[in-house]
Amino acid sequence: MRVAAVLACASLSWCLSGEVQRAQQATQADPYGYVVGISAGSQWRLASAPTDSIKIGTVLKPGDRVTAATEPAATLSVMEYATGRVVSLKSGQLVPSAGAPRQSGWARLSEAIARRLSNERLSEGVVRARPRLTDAARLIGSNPWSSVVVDLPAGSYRARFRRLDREGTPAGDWVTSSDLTVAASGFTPATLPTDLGPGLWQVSIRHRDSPSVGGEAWLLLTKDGDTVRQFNELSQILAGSADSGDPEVVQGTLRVRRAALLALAP
Amino acid sequence: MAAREVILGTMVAALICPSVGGRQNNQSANPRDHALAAALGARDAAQAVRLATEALSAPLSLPAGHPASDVLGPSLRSRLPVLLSNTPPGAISSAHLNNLGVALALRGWTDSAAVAFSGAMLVADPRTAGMRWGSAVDPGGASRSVQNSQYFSSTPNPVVVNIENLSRLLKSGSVQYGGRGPYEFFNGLLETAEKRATPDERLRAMAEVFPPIVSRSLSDALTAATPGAPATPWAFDRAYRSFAQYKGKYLRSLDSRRARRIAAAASQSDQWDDRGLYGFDPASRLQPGEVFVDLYVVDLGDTLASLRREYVAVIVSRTTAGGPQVQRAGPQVVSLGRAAALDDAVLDLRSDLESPKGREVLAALAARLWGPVAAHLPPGTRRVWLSPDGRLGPAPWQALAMSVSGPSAVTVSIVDSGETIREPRSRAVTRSAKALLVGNLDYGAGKLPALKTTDEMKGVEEVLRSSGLQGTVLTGASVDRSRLLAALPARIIHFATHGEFRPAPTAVTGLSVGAWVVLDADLRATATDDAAMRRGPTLDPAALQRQLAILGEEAKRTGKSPTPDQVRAAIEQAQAGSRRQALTPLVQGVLALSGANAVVDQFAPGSAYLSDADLAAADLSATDLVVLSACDLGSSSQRAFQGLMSMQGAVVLAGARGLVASLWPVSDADAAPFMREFYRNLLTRRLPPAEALREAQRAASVDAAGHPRSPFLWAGWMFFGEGW
Repeated sequence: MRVAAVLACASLSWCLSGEVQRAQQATQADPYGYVVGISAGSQWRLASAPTDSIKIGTVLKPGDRVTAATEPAATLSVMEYATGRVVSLKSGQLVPSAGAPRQSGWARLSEAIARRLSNERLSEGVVRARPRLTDAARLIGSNPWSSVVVDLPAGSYRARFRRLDREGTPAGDWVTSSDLTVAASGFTPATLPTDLGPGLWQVSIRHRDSPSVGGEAWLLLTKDGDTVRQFNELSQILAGSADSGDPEVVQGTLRVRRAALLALAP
Repeated sequence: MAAREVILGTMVAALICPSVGGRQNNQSANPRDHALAAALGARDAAQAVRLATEALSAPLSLPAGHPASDVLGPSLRSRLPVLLSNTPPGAISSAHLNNLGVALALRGWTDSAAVAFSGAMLVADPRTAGMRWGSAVDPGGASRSVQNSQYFSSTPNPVVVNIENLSRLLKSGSVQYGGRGPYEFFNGLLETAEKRATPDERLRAMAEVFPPIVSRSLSDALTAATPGAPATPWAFDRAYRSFAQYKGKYLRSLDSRRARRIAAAASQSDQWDDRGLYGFDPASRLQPGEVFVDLYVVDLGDTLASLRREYVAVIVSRTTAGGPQVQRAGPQVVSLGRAAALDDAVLDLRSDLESPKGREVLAALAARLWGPVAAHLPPGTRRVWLSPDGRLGPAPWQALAMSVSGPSAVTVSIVDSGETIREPRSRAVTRSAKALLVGNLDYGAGKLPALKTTDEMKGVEEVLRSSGLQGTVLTGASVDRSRLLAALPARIIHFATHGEFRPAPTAVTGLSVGAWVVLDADLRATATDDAAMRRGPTLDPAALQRQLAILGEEAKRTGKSPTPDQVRAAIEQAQAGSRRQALTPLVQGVLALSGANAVVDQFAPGSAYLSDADLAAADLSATDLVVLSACDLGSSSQRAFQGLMSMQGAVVLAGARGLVASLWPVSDADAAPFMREFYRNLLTRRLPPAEALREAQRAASVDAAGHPRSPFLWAGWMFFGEGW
């Protein structure tokens, strides 16, 4: 257990040395995780609160039991409090124990994410295509495109930005950047328009000839390197969940990522 | 031998890349020398000629004394230096390169032959007398000078053939070849087919070489001809005019003379005589209540300083006021405004529709794009055939019409050109009772999440069954391309799966798509896109040469010719090695099948994806409707001479009568009720497909309480094609 705790700590840059002690002291009061995705049309209940429906953001305690009141084959996707991974639970399943002890740095982010999970702006239906962009956090002045672009064919694109407020709601009109050229050799221009200041932005990139090619993503611009590192580490943790093939988990992963951006935004 | 074939193919590819050579004209006395050397990595053109000559030294498989033996053998070899190096630019004729193509095909070098044919088609086409490289000789013997920008406006319609079958027919002697150029060559094919006794046999004969839509037209033309009379050149013309719906639109839109006429009409008069613009009278093809709206992007202004690019709509309608005789109302020419602003508005719509102001955004674009058109539609218009141009293809035209005129707006069918409109309608609705449903597929673990298509599949199947159709349902983990293609044909084909669209790059160097060869494949830019012309082809010829050499060595070792898929893979590999993103023109849209998550490159040949190229090569002439309940596959990239590519072009090419697809993402939650409603309208209410779709969109545009829903959820669906 001790080894596991230290390893977990080492993998998270925001883990502070003085907090290892606390990391070793996980208690039964710690949640197992937070509900981040519920199959459409299904209703879930906890054995400990059978009259209440489980909602996005509901805290799951170890040892409790989740049950689908409808659609028994449906699954519930959950962000693990201790690890940040998004996993799925089946109907009738006992909520597992909290696992590896948490770290206080992670705990702060995890709890901040949990507070934002129920935001409707974070929901997005699973669509019948592979995502071409992904959410990212970048230092101001750095090249953001390699973080945002997952899979864009070469060509000429129009990129636009608009600021998102603390709830993820658009807070103004689109600001158009110069055209973006995607080539095998990289992105041109490699930098963002200079008038994009710190904060959370929605970026839209659309192929000049075929607007269906492109997408939208959230981009957190910051001057704080730790913020970027935290988000990147979380993204790495979530990478496996995003590629699970389970639509609920994929949805939940997107929700966690965006909630994290809201939590990290200045 | 195979390596030489490769070299020759590359060399000919370089030969037919006029923009590369043309743009480097200032640096070389003969632009082809430069292009040739660059393509081959050869010391000079003389070395290239030597290699090509050696390649053509293999014996011909023609009967002794065949009249073409010489022109395809010794004579051709002796003329190669003239052909490939020292000829003044104007002296290359269609016959030269066509002979080269036939000679190579007879030797089994189908890929190189395809490129040579491509050159022939580009150098001179009998229907348009289009030429290139500064000056040219047309079949009538007249010479004229053309500028670079005019080259693109005068190049011919493309020809698509099955190069493998063509090669086989040539070698078997089934097709006579006189060596007089492409016109006669394809007429030879026609004469061969004419000798068949019945229309069905003729159709089969033509189908060996041409895509279904061309085959049908050719067969019809032959059947209608006077028995015993020789096939006329015009039969071939007519057939290819039908086929021109595939690409002809862009030929016309780039024709500077016609564009000028449109521009003049747009600026000076709202009445305009369209004689000469179309090869037919579009009004005569319209039924009462139908209108053809032909969009063009044109350059207006007499001087460079005053040049502005605008969209204009040519509105062709008919009236029945004079009784059964069609009364020409005369086309109206309506300016839609500056192209750049409209292009941006269409581009931004996709993102803006998701905002709370989505409806207002849609309404604003509709007022600009559809408003001027709607104002000129005659009273009683029920159906509009719309042929987009420029970057207006991805506009949600049906939703724009509904935004301006309300839920009972006209129905809009998107067509490549007015050629699609046929009168009488080309054939009755298929009586086949078979439908094919593909969904609930297992993609495996990976980036493509499982889809919840059970409700959609169930709903569609119920409607189909209640309408007397027998559905073959393909689901699960074993639906690969072979299994799917084996399940064709079907009257209705419905896919509920992941779709991906990747536009062809501006610079396209495509060669072959399976056995189908797009013979105009080296076109790479619009007339005004000088930057693209300067960039040249995205396919590095040296990289292609290396890849095909590997293939050739393998063929030599095994004694087997490469398969079309292998050739295509080699081309794509070469593209990956050079500038990664180049594609064969047709492979732009793919549908995910079982196991798709195990595939790294979904656009490479494989069994876990069905591409537009696969569909184009299938015979869907018995298919009334293809429905793609998948993301983005209503998109197309529009390139000079290539028309509406991707799934739209593929389905038309394959002979199906219509396609329903979405411009935007499709979600599971919305697709199930939407599709159920669409099929109810189509099969239970027996509405034509465009109307069935509009009604489904109308239903989806409000929620259960009657409140408007975001247009993003319903506006992206479009109907493409002939329909009924």
